[in-house]
Amino acid sequence: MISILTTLLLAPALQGPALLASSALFEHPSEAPLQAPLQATTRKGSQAAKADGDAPKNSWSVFADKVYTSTGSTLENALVVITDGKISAITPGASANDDSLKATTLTAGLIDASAPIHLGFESVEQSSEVTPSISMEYGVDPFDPRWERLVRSGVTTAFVPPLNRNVVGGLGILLKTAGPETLEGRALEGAEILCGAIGGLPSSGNRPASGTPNTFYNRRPTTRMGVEWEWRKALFDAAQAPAEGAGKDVDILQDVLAGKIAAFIQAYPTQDIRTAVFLKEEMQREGFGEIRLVIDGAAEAWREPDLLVRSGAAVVLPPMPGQGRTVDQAFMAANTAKVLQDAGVPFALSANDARTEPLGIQAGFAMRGGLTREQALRAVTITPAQILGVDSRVGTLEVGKDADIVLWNGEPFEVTTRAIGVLVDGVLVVDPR
Amino acid sequence: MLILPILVSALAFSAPATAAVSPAAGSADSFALQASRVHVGDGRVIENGVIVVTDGAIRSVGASAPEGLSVRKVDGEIAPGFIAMRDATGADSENNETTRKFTPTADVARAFDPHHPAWAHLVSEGITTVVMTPASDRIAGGLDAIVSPATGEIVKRGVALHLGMSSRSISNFVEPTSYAGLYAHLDRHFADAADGSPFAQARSGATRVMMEALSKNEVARAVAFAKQYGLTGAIIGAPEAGDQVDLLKSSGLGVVFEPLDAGDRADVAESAKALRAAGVPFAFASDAGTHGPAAMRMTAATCMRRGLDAQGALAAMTKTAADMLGVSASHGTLEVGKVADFVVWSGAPTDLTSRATHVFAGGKLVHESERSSSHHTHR
Repeated sequence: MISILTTLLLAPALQGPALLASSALFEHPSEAPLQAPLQATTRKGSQAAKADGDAPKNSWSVFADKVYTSTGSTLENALVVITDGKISAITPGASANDDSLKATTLTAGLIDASAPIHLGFESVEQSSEVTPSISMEYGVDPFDPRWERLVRSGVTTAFVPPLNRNVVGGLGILLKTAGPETLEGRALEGAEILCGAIGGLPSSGNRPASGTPNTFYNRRPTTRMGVEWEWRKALFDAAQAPAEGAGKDVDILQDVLAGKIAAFIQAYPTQDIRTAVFLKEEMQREGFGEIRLVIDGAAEAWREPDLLVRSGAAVVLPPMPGQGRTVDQAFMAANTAKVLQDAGVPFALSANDARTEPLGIQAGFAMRGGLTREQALRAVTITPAQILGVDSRVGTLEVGKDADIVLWNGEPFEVTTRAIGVLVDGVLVVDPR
Repeated sequence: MLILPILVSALAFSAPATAAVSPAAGSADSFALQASRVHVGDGRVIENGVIVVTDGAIRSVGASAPEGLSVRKVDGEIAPGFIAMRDATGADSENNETTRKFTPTADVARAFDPHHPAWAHLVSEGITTVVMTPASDRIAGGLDAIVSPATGEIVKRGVALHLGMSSRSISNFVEPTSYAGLYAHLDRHFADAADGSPFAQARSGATRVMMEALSKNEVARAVAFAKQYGLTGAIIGAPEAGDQVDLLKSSGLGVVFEPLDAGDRADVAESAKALRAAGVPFAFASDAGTHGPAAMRMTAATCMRRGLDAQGALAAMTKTAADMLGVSASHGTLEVGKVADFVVWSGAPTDLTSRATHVFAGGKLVHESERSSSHHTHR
């Protein structure tokens, strides 16, 4: 498997600490699992648990004319065998069994590295601007109908950050998009990731409209300067705090400085991308630590790709905006992904909640901007898996991996191609028959 | 059971009106009524049954009255007075301490104005017992109180710790603004509960909890929270409880459904039938302030339209409610020794076309339908 890491090692611009930081990004810190999910069970979940005989079928064989594995190889006439939810064999040049599911092409289940399938304002605790220990386990609803929409679009794994109204919003959550209607049944253990934002959104609405300010908004930042100051102060205070006993919030920020927890920072326009990079570099310069930086929503990443290369950051691109402008009035060029590809910046694509153009179509937009199909595929499968620290389980079609598979009725990412079938952990969630 | 007759009914209301059904013979404090049917409330229905009341309590229910006591025949069916599991109509927002999300020791009985004119409308719909609760948008807004709106009696204070665990308790302007924040606060309060505090009382099982939760997600979280801290009581809301029957049954919690309006989706109505089949106790809130005084009856009837049997509907408004509140020794059925809260209905008590022609609370006639006789009631 050609990993992004190898690509990075070959990139001459990546020398010194930045390289160390970016390689750390793709390790799987075993000491940092997601927080224990809620003990809630649901009707379907509890029934599935108590009656093993009723467990959904998770062994299949799938035959396709062409199988895109995300490892660099494309197999013709391949039969993929799934046993107990895992891929147990992939045989090219085979023929279909009588009971095989059939499709024109297969890819690994798509991974959306920034899917806001959260409860909106109720996912972020705005009574403080810095809330590292707030966990998204309380900010998502396993019964949300948007999960089904997402899985029907071919997305099988999603990372959900909190809403971008806090400077430091809290710990995101990584979930399969189908399965039991419980968080514990869907959570994937990956890298622990602290989410936050830089830019106009955390400060928006923080001015009392009129009269006497009587809410907490009047002490929150009202400018980009203030937002950045909150980040810097939180990290500075954590660096100064004792290593033990300073509380959950400080513990998490210290782990961010130690590179154990990635910092997933939303920044759309160039000035905010710069601020995120400068913040990381300032912490490095001061000896506070090496932040593993992921810049989410980096619409203007195409403007200064060398800065991103220098920083060692990974990038999650927002969905292609219809009128060219994203939030914060950032301009996303059609060739943004292509620029990052050429510069050697690891990047993933994202598609919001699939209400507009789903992730497969975002990959199509990236191809229109210059990526090859293989490159676009990696940006929605193995690269986000690496960024999220789950590439040992998902992101490619390889023996031993989770059987998260999309069955397409044509070449993937073409506008006329549809996900006709989806398997998640070997369970047929969308039936192509 | 603790009964605190803070307000003697005589203070609030003068002697029972001398209406058609007032005692005609026997002891001044005893009377007997015979109806075409008496619904005891525990499933028994006595044809041409006679109910005898002495000193505000039920002395007997059966086929006849003791010798010497004349029996007045009434046209209709007698059933226990209804119990509304959430209503603060007569509180005029005095149940909502808006400056704080946590006022766990606030006593909602102190928001009870027995003379508030709104109560009479509830009584006219057959409701003789009301659980007053803090506002739904608090998190721990205080302690629920059982009151008798017709007699002015406070039946029981501190009956349950009321917990808002739904999106209603999450504000845009004060902490918390998120589910994570809401649960962080609740966790802290329950984990660090000082001895004797309502949180400690709830953990020890000495006090029930009433947990407001609406979406399936909120319900699943509330159930998990109750399991974590060993809480007993009920979920208020849970319109999709029918999808979570196993979860609810395993939790031991009851369910209180909110009123349905005519155009509402069918979930609640079908949930009631599902819970009944599974043996999960459920009752109804009335919320007359927002839904009108007949909302509880209408909701029960809507549930019947979606498959709930009449006995189940009646139980939800009487016996089950009393069980859930821990006052079944005195309320919920027409059994000997219990408080004489009952209603004479012009037809079946769960039939929407039936009228409450006479309502008795504490053995006193507190409402008489104007159409039931030529007399007007004292109210």
